[in-house]
Amino acid sequence: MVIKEIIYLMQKEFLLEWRQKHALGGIMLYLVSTIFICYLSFAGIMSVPTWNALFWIIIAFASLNLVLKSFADETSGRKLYLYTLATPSAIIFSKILINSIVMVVLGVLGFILFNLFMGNMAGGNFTYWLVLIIGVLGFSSILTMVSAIASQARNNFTLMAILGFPLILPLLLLLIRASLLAIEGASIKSVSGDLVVILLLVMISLTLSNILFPYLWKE
Amino acid sequence: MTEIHGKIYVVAMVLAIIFAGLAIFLFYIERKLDRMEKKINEMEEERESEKVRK
Amino acid sequence: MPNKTWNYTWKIFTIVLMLYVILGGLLFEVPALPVIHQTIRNIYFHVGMWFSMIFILFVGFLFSLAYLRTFDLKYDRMAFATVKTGLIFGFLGIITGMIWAQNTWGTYWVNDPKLNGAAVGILVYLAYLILRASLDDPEKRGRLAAVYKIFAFVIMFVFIMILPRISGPSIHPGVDGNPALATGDLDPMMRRVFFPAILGWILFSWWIYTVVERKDKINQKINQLNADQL
Repeated sequence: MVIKEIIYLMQKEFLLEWRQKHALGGIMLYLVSTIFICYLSFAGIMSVPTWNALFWIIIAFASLNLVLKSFADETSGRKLYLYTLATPSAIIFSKILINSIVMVVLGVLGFILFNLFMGNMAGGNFTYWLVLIIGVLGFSSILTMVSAIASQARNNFTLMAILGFPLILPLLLLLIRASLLAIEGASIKSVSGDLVVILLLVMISLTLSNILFPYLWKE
Repeated sequence: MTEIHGKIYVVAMVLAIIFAGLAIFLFYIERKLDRMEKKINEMEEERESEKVRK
Repeated sequence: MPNKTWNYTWKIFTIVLMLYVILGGLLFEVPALPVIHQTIRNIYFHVGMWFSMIFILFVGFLFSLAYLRTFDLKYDRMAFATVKTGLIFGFLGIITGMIWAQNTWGTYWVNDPKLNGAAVGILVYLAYLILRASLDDPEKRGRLAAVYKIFAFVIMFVFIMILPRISGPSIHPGVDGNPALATGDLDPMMRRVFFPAILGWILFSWWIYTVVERKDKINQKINQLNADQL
Protein backbone atom coordinates (compact mmCIF):
# COMPACT_ATOMS: atom_id res chain seq x y z
CA MET A 1 0.00 0.00 0.00
CA VAL A 2 2.71 2.42 1.04
CA ILE A 3 4.79 1.35 -1.93
CA LYS A 4 1.90 2.12 -4.24
CA GLU A 5 1.57 5.53 -2.67
CA ILE A 6 5.27 6.15 -3.05
CA ILE A 7 5.08 5.26 -6.72
CA TYR A 8 2.13 7.60 -7.29
CA LEU A 9 3.84 10.41 -5.44
CA MET A 10 7.01 9.88 -7.42
CA GLN A 11 5.08 10.09 -10.67
CA LYS A 12 3.66 13.39 -9.47
CA GLU A 13 7.15 14.60 -8.55
CA PHE A 14 8.55 13.60 -11.92
CA LEU A 15 5.75 15.41 -13.66
CA LEU A 16 6.37 18.53 -11.59
CA GLU A 17 10.11 18.37 -12.19
CA TRP A 18 9.47 17.95 -15.88
CA ARG A 19 7.11 20.88 -15.96
CA GLN A 20 9.68 22.99 -14.12
CA LYS A 21 12.60 22.10 -16.33
CA HIS A 22 14.05 25.54 -15.76
CA ALA A 23 14.70 24.70 -12.10
CA LEU A 24 16.65 21.58 -12.97
CA GLY A 25 18.36 23.50 -15.75
CA GLY A 26 19.29 26.09 -13.17
CA ILE A 27 21.08 23.51 -11.07
CA MET A 28 22.84 22.16 -14.15
CA LEU A 29 23.97 25.64 -15.06
CA TYR A 30 25.13 26.14 -11.50
CA LEU A 31 27.25 23.01 -11.81
CA VAL A 32 28.69 24.02 -15.15
CA SER A 33 29.57 27.53 -14.09
CA THR A 34 31.15 26.41 -10.82
CA ILE A 35 33.27 23.88 -12.66
CA PHE A 36 34.24 26.51 -15.22
CA ILE A 37 35.22 28.96 -12.49
CA CYS A 38 37.35 26.26 -10.87
CA TYR A 39 38.91 25.49 -14.23
CA LEU A 40 39.92 29.11 -14.67
CA SER A 41 41.10 29.73 -11.13
CA PHE A 42 42.89 26.47 -10.47
CA ALA A 43 44.70 26.32 -13.81
CA GLY A 44 48.19 24.96 -13.34
CA ILE A 45 48.03 24.41 -9.59
CA MET A 46 45.93 21.29 -9.62
CA SER A 47 47.14 18.21 -7.77
CA VAL A 48 45.22 14.98 -7.38
CA PRO A 49 44.07 15.60 -3.77
CA THR A 50 42.95 19.13 -4.66
CA TRP A 51 41.13 17.84 -7.71
CA ASN A 52 39.32 15.30 -5.59
CA ALA A 53 38.45 17.65 -2.73
CA LEU A 54 37.20 20.30 -5.13
CA PHE A 55 34.95 17.84 -6.90
CA TRP A 56 33.30 16.77 -3.68
CA ILE A 57 32.81 20.31 -2.46
CA ILE A 58 31.10 21.19 -5.73
CA ILE A 59 28.88 18.14 -5.44
CA ALA A 60 28.02 18.99 -1.83
CA PHE A 61 26.93 22.51 -2.80
CA ALA A 62 24.99 21.26 -5.79
CA SER A 63 23.11 18.75 -3.66
CA LEU A 64 22.35 21.44 -1.10
CA ASN A 65 20.87 23.59 -3.87
CA LEU A 66 18.92 20.76 -5.37
CA VAL A 67 17.45 19.35 -2.18
CA LEU A 68 16.59 22.81 -0.90
CA LYS A 69 13.77 23.20 -3.36
CA SER A 70 12.19 19.83 -2.75
CA PHE A 71 9.94 21.24 -0.06
CA ALA A 72 10.11 24.91 -0.92
CA ASP A 73 7.68 24.38 -3.79
CA GLU A 74 4.97 22.93 -1.62
CA THR A 75 2.41 25.63 -1.03
CA SER A 76 0.27 25.26 2.05
CA GLY A 77 -2.77 24.36 -0.03
CA ARG A 78 -0.95 21.59 -1.82
CA LYS A 79 0.47 20.41 1.49
CA LEU A 80 -3.00 20.03 2.93
CA TYR A 81 -4.14 18.19 -0.16
CA LEU A 82 -1.18 15.80 0.03
CA TYR A 83 -1.73 15.32 3.72
CA THR A 84 -5.28 14.11 3.22
CA LEU A 85 -4.24 11.77 0.43
CA ALA A 86 -0.97 10.18 1.49
CA THR A 87 0.75 8.94 4.60
CA PRO A 88 3.74 10.95 5.85
CA SER A 89 6.06 7.97 5.31
CA ALA A 90 5.11 7.80 1.66
CA ILE A 91 5.68 11.53 1.24
CA ILE A 92 9.14 11.60 2.78
CA PHE A 93 10.27 8.40 1.07
CA SER A 94 9.10 9.62 -2.31
CA LYS A 95 10.97 12.89 -1.77
CA ILE A 96 14.14 11.08 -0.72
CA LEU A 97 13.90 8.73 -3.69
CA ILE A 98 13.31 11.47 -6.19
CA ASN A 99 16.17 13.52 -4.76
CA SER A 100 18.42 10.48 -4.88
CA ILE A 101 17.60 9.79 -8.51
CA VAL A 102 18.11 13.38 -9.58
CA MET A 103 21.27 13.58 -7.49
CA VAL A 104 22.74 10.46 -9.09
CA VAL A 105 22.09 11.94 -12.54
CA LEU A 106 23.54 15.27 -11.46
CA GLY A 107 26.54 13.60 -9.82
CA VAL A 108 27.33 11.57 -12.93
CA LEU A 109 26.95 14.58 -15.23
CA GLY A 110 29.01 16.68 -12.87
CA PHE A 111 31.70 14.03 -12.76
CA ILE A 112 31.89 13.82 -16.53
CA LEU A 113 32.03 17.59 -16.87
CA PHE A 114 34.62 17.82 -14.14
CA ASN A 115 36.78 15.26 -15.90
CA LEU A 116 36.43 17.18 -19.16
CA PHE A 117 37.48 20.50 -17.72
CA MET A 118 39.86 19.64 -14.95
CA GLY A 119 41.73 16.76 -16.51
CA ASN A 120 40.76 13.13 -16.52
CA MET A 121 42.04 11.75 -13.26
CA ALA A 122 39.51 9.09 -12.40
CA GLY A 123 37.43 8.69 -15.56
CA GLY A 124 37.29 4.95 -16.00
CA ASN A 125 37.79 4.02 -12.37
CA PHE A 126 35.00 1.70 -11.26
CA THR A 127 35.71 2.09 -7.54
CA TYR A 128 35.46 5.86 -7.90
CA TRP A 129 32.10 5.57 -9.62
CA LEU A 130 30.84 3.36 -6.82
CA VAL A 131 32.00 5.83 -4.17
CA LEU A 132 30.40 8.64 -6.16
CA ILE A 133 27.00 6.98 -6.38
CA ILE A 134 26.88 5.83 -2.77
CA GLY A 135 28.13 9.21 -1.58
CA VAL A 136 25.44 11.04 -3.50
CA LEU A 137 22.82 8.78 -1.95
CA GLY A 138 24.21 9.74 1.45
CA PHE A 139 23.85 13.45 0.66
CA SER A 140 20.31 13.18 -0.57
CA SER A 141 19.05 11.02 2.29
CA ILE A 142 20.47 13.28 4.99
CA LEU A 143 19.65 16.56 3.30
CA THR A 144 16.04 15.77 2.40
CA MET A 145 15.06 15.70 6.06
CA VAL A 146 17.02 18.89 6.73
CA SER A 147 15.20 20.51 3.84
CA ALA A 148 11.88 19.45 5.32
CA ILE A 149 12.82 21.23 8.54
CA ALA A 150 14.26 24.32 6.88
CA SER A 151 11.27 24.77 4.58
CA GLN A 152 9.07 25.47 7.58
CA ALA A 153 11.19 28.36 8.80
CA ARG A 154 12.13 31.78 7.50
CA ASN A 155 15.42 32.36 5.59
CA ASN A 156 15.32 28.92 4.29
CA PHE A 157 18.40 28.92 2.14
CA THR A 158 20.74 30.17 4.84
CA LEU A 159 19.09 27.91 7.34
CA MET A 160 19.40 24.93 5.04
CA ALA A 161 23.13 25.51 4.69
CA ILE A 162 23.62 26.04 8.41
CA LEU A 163 21.58 23.00 9.41
CA GLY A 164 22.87 20.76 6.66
CA PHE A 165 26.60 21.41 6.58
CA PRO A 166 27.56 20.07 9.97
CA LEU A 167 25.63 16.91 9.17
CA ILE A 168 27.22 16.27 5.78
CA LEU A 169 30.68 17.42 6.78
CA PRO A 170 31.81 14.09 8.26
CA LEU A 171 30.29 12.35 5.25
CA LEU A 172 32.29 14.65 3.02
CA LEU A 173 35.52 13.80 4.86
CA LEU A 174 34.78 10.12 4.55
CA LEU A 175 34.05 10.44 0.82
CA ILE A 176 37.14 12.50 0.08
CA ARG A 177 39.26 9.89 1.80
CA ALA A 178 37.63 6.92 0.12
CA SER A 179 37.66 8.47 -3.35
CA LEU A 180 41.30 9.46 -3.01
CA LEU A 181 42.06 5.84 -2.24
CA ALA A 182 40.09 4.91 -5.33
CA ILE A 183 42.13 7.27 -7.52
CA GLU A 184 45.31 5.77 -6.14
CA GLY A 185 44.08 2.47 -7.48
CA ALA A 186 42.79 0.81 -4.35
CA SER A 187 40.44 -2.13 -4.78
CA ILE A 188 36.79 -2.02 -3.75
CA LYS A 189 37.69 -4.10 -0.74
CA SER A 190 39.87 -1.42 0.78
CA VAL A 191 37.17 1.24 0.61
CA SER A 192 34.38 -1.13 1.60
CA GLY A 193 34.63 -0.09 5.27
CA ASP A 194 33.86 3.51 4.37
CA LEU A 195 31.11 2.51 1.97
CA VAL A 196 29.44 0.36 4.63
CA VAL A 197 29.48 3.30 7.05
CA ILE A 198 27.86 5.52 4.43
CA LEU A 199 25.21 2.93 3.67
CA LEU A 200 24.60 2.56 7.39
CA LEU A 201 24.10 6.32 7.57
CA VAL A 202 21.66 6.17 4.69
CA MET A 203 19.68 3.47 6.53
CA ILE A 204 19.73 5.45 9.77
CA SER A 205 18.61 8.66 8.15
CA LEU A 206 15.82 6.81 6.35
CA THR A 207 14.62 5.32 9.63
CA LEU A 208 14.83 8.65 11.43
CA SER A 209 13.06 10.44 8.58
CA ASN A 210 10.30 7.90 8.75
CA ILE A 211 9.89 8.37 12.49
CA LEU A 212 10.34 12.13 12.66
CA PHE A 213 8.68 13.38 9.50
CA PRO A 214 5.10 13.03 10.79
CA TYR A 215 5.97 15.56 13.51
CA LEU A 216 6.99 18.10 10.88
CA TRP A 217 4.00 17.51 8.72
CA LYS A 218 1.22 17.93 11.22
CA GLU A 219 -0.04 21.47 11.42
CA MET B 1 56.89 16.32 47.07
CA THR B 2 57.81 19.97 47.00
CA GLU B 3 61.11 19.11 45.38
CA ILE B 4 59.38 17.72 42.31
CA HIS B 5 56.63 20.25 42.12
CA GLY B 6 58.40 23.41 43.15
CA LYS B 7 55.70 25.18 45.21
CA ILE B 8 52.96 23.98 42.87
CA TYR B 9 50.80 23.63 45.99
CA VAL B 10 50.41 27.40 45.98
CA VAL B 11 48.83 27.23 42.53
CA ALA B 12 46.64 24.35 43.65
CA MET B 13 45.41 26.42 46.61
CA VAL B 14 44.71 29.41 44.41
CA LEU B 15 42.71 27.29 41.96
CA ALA B 16 40.81 25.63 44.79
CA ILE B 17 39.89 29.02 46.25
CA ILE B 18 38.79 30.32 42.86
CA PHE B 19 36.60 27.29 42.35
CA ALA B 20 35.13 27.55 45.83
CA GLY B 21 34.43 31.23 45.23
CA LEU B 22 32.62 30.50 41.99
CA ALA B 23 30.60 27.75 43.67
CA ILE B 24 29.54 30.11 46.43
CA PHE B 25 28.58 32.63 43.77
CA LEU B 26 26.42 29.95 42.13
CA PHE B 27 24.67 29.38 45.46
CA TYR B 28 24.10 33.11 45.72
CA ILE B 29 22.54 33.22 42.23
CA GLU B 30 20.33 30.29 43.12
CA ARG B 31 19.08 32.10 46.22
CA LYS B 32 18.14 35.03 43.99
CA LEU B 33 16.38 32.66 41.61
CA ASP B 34 14.47 31.16 44.54
CA ARG B 35 13.24 34.59 45.51
CA MET B 36 12.26 35.44 41.94
CA GLU B 37 10.36 32.19 41.55
CA LYS B 38 8.47 32.87 44.75
CA LYS B 39 7.55 36.37 43.66
CA ILE B 40 6.37 35.21 40.26
CA ASN B 41 4.25 32.50 41.81
CA GLU B 42 2.65 35.09 44.07
CA MET B 43 1.96 37.33 41.09
CA GLU B 44 0.40 34.46 39.21
CA GLU B 45 -1.85 33.59 42.11
CA GLU B 46 -2.91 37.21 42.35
CA ARG B 47 -3.80 37.20 38.67
CA GLU B 48 -5.80 34.04 39.11
CA SER B 49 -7.78 35.41 42.03
CA GLU B 50 -8.45 38.64 40.09
CA LYS B 51 -9.83 36.61 37.22
CA VAL B 52 -12.03 34.66 39.59
CA ARG B 53 -13.38 37.88 41.12
CA LYS B 54 -14.25 39.19 37.70
CA MET C 1 12.05 19.51 53.93
CA PRO C 2 14.11 16.50 52.81
CA ASN C 3 13.96 17.75 49.25
CA LYS C 4 15.76 20.93 50.16
CA THR C 5 18.38 19.11 52.24
CA TRP C 6 19.09 16.79 49.34
CA ASN C 7 19.36 19.77 47.07
CA TYR C 8 22.13 21.20 49.22
CA THR C 9 23.80 17.86 49.91
CA TRP C 10 24.62 16.96 46.34
CA LYS C 11 25.90 20.43 45.57
CA ILE C 12 28.20 20.42 48.60
CA PHE C 13 29.30 16.93 47.56
CA THR C 14 30.11 18.26 44.08
CA ILE C 15 32.15 21.10 45.51
CA VAL C 16 34.10 18.79 47.81
CA LEU C 17 34.72 16.41 44.94
CA MET C 18 35.94 19.20 42.69
CA LEU C 19 38.23 20.59 45.39
CA TYR C 20 39.71 17.10 45.77
CA VAL C 21 40.16 16.92 42.00
CA ILE C 22 41.86 20.30 41.80
CA LEU C 23 44.21 19.63 44.72
CA GLY C 24 44.84 15.98 43.88
CA GLY C 25 45.09 16.68 40.19
CA LEU C 26 47.87 19.18 40.73
CA LEU C 27 49.69 17.59 43.67
CA PHE C 28 49.52 13.80 43.34
CA GLU C 29 52.28 11.93 41.55
CA VAL C 30 51.86 11.33 37.85
CA PRO C 31 53.87 8.91 35.72
CA ALA C 32 56.80 10.45 33.87
CA LEU C 33 55.95 10.52 30.19
CA PRO C 34 57.91 11.83 27.23
CA VAL C 35 56.65 14.98 25.44
CA ILE C 36 53.55 15.32 27.58
CA HIS C 37 55.39 15.55 30.93
CA GLN C 38 53.32 17.29 33.58
CA THR C 39 50.60 18.27 31.11
CA ILE C 40 49.10 14.81 31.58
CA ARG C 41 47.33 16.43 34.51
CA ASN C 42 45.16 18.18 31.92
CA ILE C 43 43.34 14.91 31.53
CA TYR C 44 41.45 15.66 34.75
CA PHE C 45 40.21 18.97 33.40
CA HIS C 46 40.10 18.91 29.61
CA VAL C 47 38.50 15.47 29.37
CA GLY C 48 36.04 16.48 32.08
CA MET C 49 34.73 19.20 29.76
CA TRP C 50 33.95 16.62 27.08
CA PHE C 51 32.24 14.27 29.47
CA SER C 52 30.09 17.08 30.82
CA MET C 53 29.18 18.22 27.34
CA ILE C 54 28.26 14.74 26.15
CA PHE C 55 26.29 14.04 29.30
CA ILE C 56 24.34 17.30 29.11
CA LEU C 57 23.65 16.91 25.40
CA PHE C 58 22.48 13.34 25.89
CA VAL C 59 20.06 14.51 28.56
CA GLY C 60 18.93 17.17 26.09
CA PHE C 61 18.30 14.48 23.50
CA LEU C 62 16.01 12.71 25.99
CA PHE C 63 14.18 15.99 26.68
CA SER C 64 13.61 16.47 22.96
CA LEU C 65 12.16 12.97 22.71
CA ALA C 66 9.96 13.78 25.69
CA TYR C 67 8.77 16.95 23.96
CA LEU C 68 7.73 15.10 20.83
CA ARG C 69 5.83 12.57 22.94
CA THR C 70 3.97 15.04 25.12
CA PHE C 71 4.14 18.46 23.39
CA ASP C 72 4.63 19.93 26.83
CA LEU C 73 6.56 23.19 26.38
CA LYS C 74 8.35 22.49 29.64
CA TYR C 75 10.49 19.88 27.87
CA ASP C 76 11.28 22.25 25.04
CA ARG C 77 12.57 24.80 27.54
CA MET C 78 14.65 22.13 29.23
CA ALA C 79 16.08 20.94 25.91
CA PHE C 80 17.00 24.50 25.02
CA ALA C 81 18.76 24.97 28.35
CA THR C 82 20.82 21.81 27.84
CA VAL C 83 22.05 23.15 24.50
CA LYS C 84 23.13 26.44 26.06
CA THR C 85 24.96 24.64 28.86
CA GLY C 86 26.43 22.01 26.57
CA LEU C 87 27.83 24.67 24.26
CA ILE C 88 29.64 26.39 27.14
CA PHE C 89 31.36 23.13 28.06
CA GLY C 90 31.99 22.33 24.41
CA PHE C 91 33.78 25.62 23.80
CA LEU C 92 35.80 25.22 26.99
CA GLY C 93 36.74 21.71 25.84
CA ILE C 94 37.85 22.94 22.43
CA ILE C 95 39.85 25.86 23.81
CA THR C 96 41.60 23.79 26.49
CA GLY C 97 42.26 21.09 23.91
CA MET C 98 43.82 23.59 21.52
CA ILE C 99 46.12 24.96 24.20
CA TRP C 100 47.16 21.46 25.21
CA ALA C 101 47.71 20.39 21.61
CA GLN C 102 49.80 23.45 20.79
CA ASN C 103 52.11 22.72 23.70
CA THR C 104 52.54 19.01 23.12
CA TRP C 105 51.85 18.22 19.47
CA GLY C 106 53.03 21.64 18.29
CA THR C 107 49.84 22.59 16.49
CA TYR C 108 46.46 23.93 17.55
CA TRP C 109 44.44 21.55 15.46
CA VAL C 110 45.09 18.14 14.00
CA ASN C 111 42.89 16.56 11.37
CA ASP C 112 41.59 13.83 13.60
CA PRO C 113 38.16 12.20 13.73
CA LYS C 114 37.76 13.03 17.39
CA LEU C 115 38.49 16.71 17.00
CA ASN C 116 36.40 16.93 13.87
CA GLY C 117 33.57 15.16 15.67
CA ALA C 118 33.73 17.74 18.43
CA ALA C 119 33.72 20.61 15.94
CA VAL C 120 30.77 19.12 14.08
CA GLY C 121 28.90 18.73 17.35
CA ILE C 122 29.38 22.38 18.20
CA LEU C 123 28.32 23.46 14.70
CA VAL C 124 25.16 21.37 14.98
CA TYR C 125 24.18 22.98 18.25
CA LEU C 126 24.93 26.47 16.98
CA ALA C 127 22.70 25.65 14.01
CA TYR C 128 20.05 24.58 16.51
CA LEU C 129 20.20 28.04 18.09
CA ILE C 130 19.81 29.71 14.68
CA LEU C 131 16.88 27.44 13.83
CA ARG C 132 15.15 28.43 17.04
CA ALA C 133 15.83 32.10 16.43
CA SER C 134 14.15 31.99 13.04
CA LEU C 135 10.83 30.66 14.31
CA ASP C 136 8.28 32.59 16.33
CA ASP C 137 5.46 30.26 17.25
CA PRO C 138 6.57 28.41 20.43
CA GLU C 139 4.79 25.18 19.59
CA LYS C 140 6.20 25.01 16.07
CA ARG C 141 9.62 26.14 17.22
CA GLY C 142 9.73 23.39 19.80
CA ARG C 143 8.62 20.81 17.29
CA LEU C 144 11.11 21.68 14.56
CA ALA C 145 13.95 22.17 17.00
CA ALA C 146 13.28 18.80 18.63
CA VAL C 147 13.12 17.05 15.26
CA TYR C 148 16.41 18.57 14.15
CA LYS C 149 18.07 17.83 17.46
CA ILE C 150 17.10 14.17 17.44
CA PHE C 151 18.07 13.73 13.79
CA ALA C 152 21.40 15.48 14.25
CA PHE C 153 22.21 13.78 17.54
CA VAL C 154 21.80 10.28 16.17
CA ILE C 155 23.81 11.00 13.02
CA MET C 156 26.54 12.68 15.05
CA PHE C 157 26.61 9.77 17.45
CA VAL C 158 27.21 7.39 14.56
CA PHE C 159 30.05 9.52 13.26
CA ILE C 160 31.72 9.97 16.60
CA MET C 161 31.46 6.29 17.48
CA ILE C 162 32.23 4.71 14.12
CA LEU C 163 34.61 7.07 12.39
CA PRO C 164 37.57 6.69 14.79
CA ARG C 165 37.30 2.91 14.58
CA ILE C 166 37.67 2.69 10.85
CA SER C 167 40.01 5.55 10.16
CA GLY C 168 43.14 3.97 11.54
CA PRO C 169 45.66 5.19 14.09
CA SER C 170 45.03 8.56 15.62
CA ILE C 171 47.26 10.90 17.54
CA HIS C 172 44.48 11.56 20.03
CA PRO C 173 44.21 9.01 22.87
CA GLY C 174 41.22 6.74 23.33
CA VAL C 175 41.16 5.31 19.83
CA ASP C 176 39.09 2.26 20.70
CA GLY C 177 35.93 4.09 19.74
CA ASN C 178 35.34 5.47 23.19
CA PRO C 179 35.91 9.17 22.81
CA ALA C 180 38.51 10.66 25.11
CA LEU C 181 38.44 7.90 27.69
CA ALA C 182 41.55 5.78 27.57
CA THR C 183 41.12 3.81 30.76
CA GLY C 184 43.06 0.90 29.35
CA ASP C 185 46.33 2.77 29.36
CA LEU C 186 45.54 5.15 32.20
CA ASP C 187 47.97 4.76 35.04
CA PRO C 188 46.35 3.34 38.20
CA MET C 189 47.83 6.26 40.13
CA MET C 190 45.84 8.62 37.96
CA ARG C 191 42.57 6.75 38.20
CA ARG C 192 42.03 7.86 41.78
CA VAL C 193 41.71 11.40 40.52
CA PHE C 194 40.38 10.73 37.02
CA PHE C 195 37.14 8.97 37.96
CA PRO C 196 36.19 11.46 40.70
CA ALA C 197 37.04 14.21 38.20
CA ILE C 198 34.58 12.85 35.64
CA LEU C 199 31.83 12.48 38.23
CA GLY C 200 32.57 15.92 39.66
CA TRP C 201 32.45 17.66 36.29
CA ILE C 202 29.26 15.90 35.30
CA LEU C 203 27.55 16.91 38.54
CA PHE C 204 28.88 20.43 38.18
CA SER C 205 27.59 20.74 34.62
CA TRP C 206 24.19 19.47 35.76
CA TRP C 207 24.18 22.15 38.45
CA ILE C 208 24.90 24.86 35.88
CA TYR C 209 22.16 23.44 33.68
CA THR C 210 19.59 23.69 36.48
CA VAL C 211 20.50 27.34 37.02
CA VAL C 212 20.15 28.11 33.30
CA GLU C 213 16.85 26.29 33.14
CA ARG C 214 15.41 28.13 36.13
CA LYS C 215 16.48 31.45 34.69
CA ASP C 216 14.70 30.59 31.42
CA LYS C 217 11.61 29.50 33.30
CA ILE C 218 11.42 32.76 35.19
CA ASN C 219 11.95 34.69 31.98
CA GLN C 220 9.15 32.78 30.33
CA LYS C 221 6.76 33.43 33.19
CA ILE C 222 7.56 37.14 33.22
CA ASN C 223 6.84 37.31 29.50
CA GLN C 224 3.59 35.47 30.04
CA LEU C 225 2.51 37.84 32.83
CA ASN C 226 3.34 40.82 30.65
CA ALA C 227 1.37 39.35 27.79
CA ASP C 228 -1.65 38.71 30.02
CA GLN C 229 -1.60 42.30 31.14
CA LEU C 230 -1.99 43.63 27.60
